[in-house]
This record gives sequence, C-alpha cells and structure tokens, in this order.
Amino acid sequence: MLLRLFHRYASTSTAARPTHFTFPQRIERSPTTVLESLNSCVQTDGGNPAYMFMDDPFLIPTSAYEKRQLALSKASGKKAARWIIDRYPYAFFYDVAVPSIPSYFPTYTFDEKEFIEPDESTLYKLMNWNKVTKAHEVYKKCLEYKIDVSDACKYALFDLLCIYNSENPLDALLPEEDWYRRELNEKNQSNLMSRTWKENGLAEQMFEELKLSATPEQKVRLYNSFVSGLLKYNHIEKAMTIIEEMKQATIPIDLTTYNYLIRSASLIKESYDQRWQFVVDTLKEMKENSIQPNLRTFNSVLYTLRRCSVYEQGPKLALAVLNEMRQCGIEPSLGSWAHVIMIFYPGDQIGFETQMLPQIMDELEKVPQLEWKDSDDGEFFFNAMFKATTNCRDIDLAKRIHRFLMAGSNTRFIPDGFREQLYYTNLFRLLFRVDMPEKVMPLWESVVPNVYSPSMNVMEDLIEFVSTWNIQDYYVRLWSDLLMLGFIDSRQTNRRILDRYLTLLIQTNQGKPSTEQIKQYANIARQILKRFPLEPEEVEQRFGSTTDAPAQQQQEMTDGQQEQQQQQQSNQLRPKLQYDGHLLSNLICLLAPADDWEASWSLYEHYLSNRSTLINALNEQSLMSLLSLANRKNAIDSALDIIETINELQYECLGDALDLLNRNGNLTNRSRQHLMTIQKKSKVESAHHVKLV
Amino acid sequence: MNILLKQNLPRYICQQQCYLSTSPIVHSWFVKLTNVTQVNTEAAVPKHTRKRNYPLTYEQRQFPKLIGHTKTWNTFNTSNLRDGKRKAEIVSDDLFLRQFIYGTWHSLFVSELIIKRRHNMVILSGLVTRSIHPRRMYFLIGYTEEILSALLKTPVKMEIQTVENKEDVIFTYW
Repeated sequence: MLLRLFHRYASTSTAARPTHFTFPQRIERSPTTVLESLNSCVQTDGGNPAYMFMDDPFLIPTSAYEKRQLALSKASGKKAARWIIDRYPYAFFYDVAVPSIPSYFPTYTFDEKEFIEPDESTLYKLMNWNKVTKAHEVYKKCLEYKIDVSDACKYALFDLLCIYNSENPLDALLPEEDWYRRELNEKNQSNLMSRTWKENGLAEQMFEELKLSATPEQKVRLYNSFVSGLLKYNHIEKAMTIIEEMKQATIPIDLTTYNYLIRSASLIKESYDQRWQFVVDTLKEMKENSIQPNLRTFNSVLYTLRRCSVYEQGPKLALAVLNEMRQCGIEPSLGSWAHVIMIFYPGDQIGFETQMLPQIMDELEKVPQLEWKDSDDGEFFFNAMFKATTNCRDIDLAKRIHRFLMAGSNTRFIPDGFREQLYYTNLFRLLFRVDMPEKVMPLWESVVPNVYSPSMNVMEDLIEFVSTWNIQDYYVRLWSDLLMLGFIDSRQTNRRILDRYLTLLIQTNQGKPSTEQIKQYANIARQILKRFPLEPEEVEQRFGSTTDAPAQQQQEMTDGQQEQQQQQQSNQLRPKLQYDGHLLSNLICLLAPADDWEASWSLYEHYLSNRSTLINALNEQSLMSLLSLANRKNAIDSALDIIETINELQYECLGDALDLLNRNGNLTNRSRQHLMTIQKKSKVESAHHVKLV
Repeated sequence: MNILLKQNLPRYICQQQCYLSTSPIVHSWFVKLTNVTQVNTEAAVPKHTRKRNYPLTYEQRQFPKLIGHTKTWNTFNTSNLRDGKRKAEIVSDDLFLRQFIYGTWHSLFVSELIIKRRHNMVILSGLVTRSIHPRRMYFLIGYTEEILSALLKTPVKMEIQTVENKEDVIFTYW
C-alpha cells in the first residue's frame, strides 16, 4: 500500500507538467456521422441474405433465379401499393411527419385546370417535376398568348430538352429493380453507339427559335447545350456542323462540350491515329482558350484510347495522360483506372508483362476511402477481375482485388447484379483451375449462396475441382448445395450437371468407399427417384388415344377414365425428367452397392419395358453391379434375366457375368442348363472361354 | 374471478369450497348486471369447452393476469414513459395496423402482430404460415410496407418468421 502511494507520487512529480492547456478544436460532424462510423465496423459477410430479403429459411433465396424473382416480386408489391395510393389519394393526406416526407404522399399529378394559365411559374414547376414535354407545350401557349417568359426560364427549358433528348426523364427505378436494371432495360443492351437523337424534335425547334433572338452570351449557352445534347445522343454529323458554325461565329466552346467531344472522338474519326490526333487538337484548343480540364476530360480521353482496341501507342499515351492528370492536380478516379486496365490488356494474350494491374492495386490501396467521382467508376472491379483472371491468371492478384473489394464499403462500386455475377464467375473459374482446396473452399463458403449464386459453368468447374482434388467429405454436401442452388430440376440445361455429379459419385464407389458413404450415395439416388418419378411410357399412349376418340365415345367415358385423364394432366404439369439409359445406369450403380434390391430392380424393369423409347442402353458397369447384388440376394431367376440382357446388348462383360453366377453355390440344375444355353447362343467371344459346371 | 376458499377443517370432514366472486362487473356500483353469461365471463380467459378441443397458442394460454409476470405486451413503444408523446395516436395506429394486417394477409398470421417502434420507424413482426409461395409473400411484404408507410408517414418494416402450419403454434386444447 505504501509502495503504491510512493509510485503514484513519483509518477506525477517526474512527469513534465504542461504549462498551458489548449482546448481541442470542434470537429464538425454531419447528422449521420455516428451511423457512418457504425457502418464502417460492419463488413459484408456471406452469412446472411441481402437486406431486402427476410431472414427466414423459407424466404431466403439461394439460386440466382430465385433472387431475381423475389426481389422483383417485392418491387411489384411496392408498385401495386403506389397504384392504390394514386387511385385513392384523399386517404393519404393526413401528415404527422415534421418535416414532411414527399415520397409517402400520392405522386403529384397535374390537372389541366390548374395549369391552364401559361405562366412562368408554371413552367418552373413543370420543369422541377420532370415534365419537360409538358413544359414545352405550356411554353408554346405562352408564345401564343404573347405572355412574357424570362430568358432564364427559356434557356433552362432548352437545356433540359437537350439533356433529355426532348423526352421526359425516366422515373428512377426502385432499388430492387435497379439491381437488375441491365436485364430490365433493354435499351442498355443495344449498341451504346447508336444514334438516338430525335431529328426535328422539340429541342431542335426551340434551338431555331432561340437562335434568332439570342444575345452573344446567350448564344454561347445555347450552342454549347445543343452540341452537348447532340453528342450525348450520338448525332455526330449535325454536331460537327454546329461546331463549324460556332467556330465561324467565334462562339467559345465550354468544358462540358469539350468533354463530350473527346468522348465521341471514336465516332468522329475512323482510324486510331486520326482519333488521337483529334483528341490532341481538341486539348490544344482547350489550352488556347484557357479552359482547365477536369476529371471528366481525362476520363473521356482514356475512354477514347480504350475504344482504339489494339493500338501500339495506347499504353504509352495512357501513361502520359495519367502524368498530365497528376500535374493538373486531379487524382485519377476508379473510372480512369478501369480504362487504363482495358488499354493495357486489350486482348486475352497481350499485356501480361506490363504488370500494370499490380501497380494499379498498389496505388489504390494507398487511398484511404474511395469515392464515386465519375460515372465510369462502376466498371473498375469488373474490368480488374476480368483481366486478372483471363489475362494475367494470377491468383494472388485476384485475391488482392477481392480483398480490396471487401475492405470498407467498396462493394457499392459494383453497381448492378450482372456485373457482380460476372466478377465472381471470373474469380472462381480462375481459382478452381489453379488453386488448392484449403484456400478456395473458405472463400467459396463465405460468398455462396448469399452474395453470389453461381451459374452452371462455375458449378461444372467446381465439380471438376472437387473430383481432381478428391475432397470426398464434400461430395454429399455438394448434393445439397446443388439442390439449394437450383441445379437439380428437369430442365435439359441442368442435365449435364446431374450426370457429371453422378459419374463423380460412381468413380468414388469404384474405389474403396466406406459403408457410410455408400449409404449416403444410395440416399441421393433415392432422392432423385422421388423427385422425378419414373413415368411408364404406356400411360402416355393411352392418354394420346383418348383425345383422338370421337365425340360419341367421349360421352360414354367412365368416371374412372376421366379421373385418369385429370391425373395425367396434373402429371404433365409437374416437371418431368427425361430418363435415359445413362441416368438409369448411374442410379443402379449407386443403389446396388447399398443392397437396395427393390429400387435397383424396378429401375431395371423400367428399362426393359421402355427399351424402345429410352435413348441409351444400360451400361456394363450397372449391369454387373446389379448382377452382383442379385447374386448376393440369391435371386437366381433375376440374375439369369440380367445375363440374358447382357447377352442381347453383346457386352464384353458376359464372360465375367457367367463366371460370377457360376460360382454361386445355390444354382439348381435347370439354371445351370440355362446358363449353358446362353453361353452357346452368345456371340461374344470371351463368354465361350468360361468353364461352366 | 372465482376464489376457492379452503376451510381449515381436517381432511376427513369434507372440504367445502366457497365460491366468492370477485368479478368487477358484479361488484360495480355503476353497471348492474345479473345474467349469468355476462357476469361470469372475463376478457381473454376462455372457459373449458365440453370436448376440450378449443386450440390455444402459448400466448393465449397465458391469461391477461400474467401480463408483466410471464407475458409481455404486443406493442413496444415509449409513449407511456415520462414525457412520452402521442399516446393516443400510437394506440389508434396499433389498432389500425392489426386490422390491416389481419385483412391483407388472409389467414396467414398465426400469432399476434408484434409492433415495435424505434425512433420514427414501426417494425411489424409475427409468425406466418408457409401456405403461399415466397413470391406472393414478398409481394405482400412490399405492398404492406409501402402502403403503411404512406398512411402513417413513418418508415414501416416487416420482419416475419415462417412456421410450417397452424398446428405448430397450438399449445393446448382448452
């Protein structure tokens, strides 16, 4: 106790006391700072579904198809609610929120009567509510009634018409739909370079009109907006003519127009050299007119370079552009790096030596927090992973990129579901080809199925991977994973996976599997049979004949037949798996070692009765395993039946089959005679060499 | 409530049970009821049926006198604390929410709706049977969330749990 006091005294006396005290500066915090800091502690974790889904096993989607379905059903429910809100708006006006939340109110519809007076305030309101075409109509009315509209308003309206190509801007999609916007919005799928500008549309009409009455400063704004609009919607010829006009009339071109111009350079000029020359000329012009380039300018330059696909000078020029950017004090954004990646690795084989990607990753890891600076930023992760896997084939690089994605909230830089799907597809295809299970499987577990639902190619690669590395413990789990991810159904496209998986199981059965494994594999075979019941083909024919029956006979149909018809109709609605000989043999190979006599024999009989309609025949392996099972069960007649089938199909294993049955001690004399007759009749060489008792 | 008074008599003499009624209805000065059905009933306490097959969930089996002991309320809000605001509005909103969910989710909820209020959000929870496809369920979820948010002018979220069928939540037969 005394010692403690002594120590405490000593510490306070020896420490240097500060002579004065400074109050720390107040740090300005935003209203959501606490939320943001909490958010930074939480990382994306593959254990729970996306936020829009309910956290309940029945309601968690696992396959890609389900995720899309459920997300869009939720969006559909929201739209239905919106419809009700707009249909009965009088019920939704009572407001308790301060400040009031506009999205909880019925969407503001415009009554004709309200806005019958063409007035400037009307125009502003319409423009604020994104009704650009309506605003133009009202503007026309203003001109008719000779009501004065201020210039600011006119030019604002003209700008909007140019930006939106004389149409109303599209409504923002709900977040659930937005994730799938690539599939929903077919316009994106078409060529981005196609010309969509409306000829003689509202924008052009207004342009002609305003041209006449514009003052020089207004002309600048007018011409620049017009050219930007034309270039945005890819109407190149008219844009170039207007630019000629502008140059003749010495109207200065401003930054936005220059940006669009550089971005469309690949449409303006044909060859790569000409494009680059054009870009350089444009940049020189900008310099002469002392217009500072911004991030968008440099990104447009890189975009143009990227569109020159295999250009020898491309990489050099890209590096020069990056240097310029740094000199101007602009930090390259993710979009710039995305373009640089595509420039340095233009094809599948080229670019590996440059080691550009690792350098880019070095740069990016220095940045403390990534921000969205440009609309091109969304392409970075997809491009990086694409090139890392197809071009560099470097596992460490791919993992580095993935770690970078998982750090903080960088996952928001993959803007839609399509790109995310491709990102993970590329990642896993590389890892499955090159890496070891101890490293790959944890990553796979963490991502599948909540963050990423693999497509069929990746599943096939996974099965390859599992079979080459012989991860036996995983085989049975793989079955439940396949079920969960929606790959076991009656569609033809998924047959490959089913066949591939079953061959995998059978290969392990040929080794020395434990009894536990045999039982589990047999269980899997039984599950398949339960899910897709064997449909005898004769029932089909009967159904076909009753539909052809004339009307009289139909009246005489008994109730029993009617019931049968209804049952067949319901059976047809259920998914039917097309059984072929290959699948049947696989199932027999799985069931027979587990001593499941009834199931295997029923499969065999199904094959026999439907031999004409099934595609392949039962293979040797399955027949031999069935025979050995029959032998063990001492079912001699069935064994003889199997041997006859082997004889018919003229398989080489007939010799072994005869030998096997011969050794069985319980054969009666009749059966032995039967065996001998089969041997005599058989055309297979090896069968004759077997000595029969 | 009927109290059983056991007189302190030795067992071999009979145990006379004296039924003293404590029903507030009987002793009230203002409401004078005498008919048997009205006087002997109590809220949320069912009488035994002859066949003993009236299903009760666990929550329903905990009669209202146990609220605060082994049973909690079905809504959670701070309106009844000191300086709590909007007591009446919250109660009426709750009644509306229960009726809305009852009418929109046709025979799907097998438990009472649990309403939690956090800041200005309303979170609805409950147990739902799996009698409809998940697609339809998500449609209902999206619809309910959107329309209730628009009505109450507060964000409304649903956090439901599914149960195989109604028999899973039946606790006893009364």
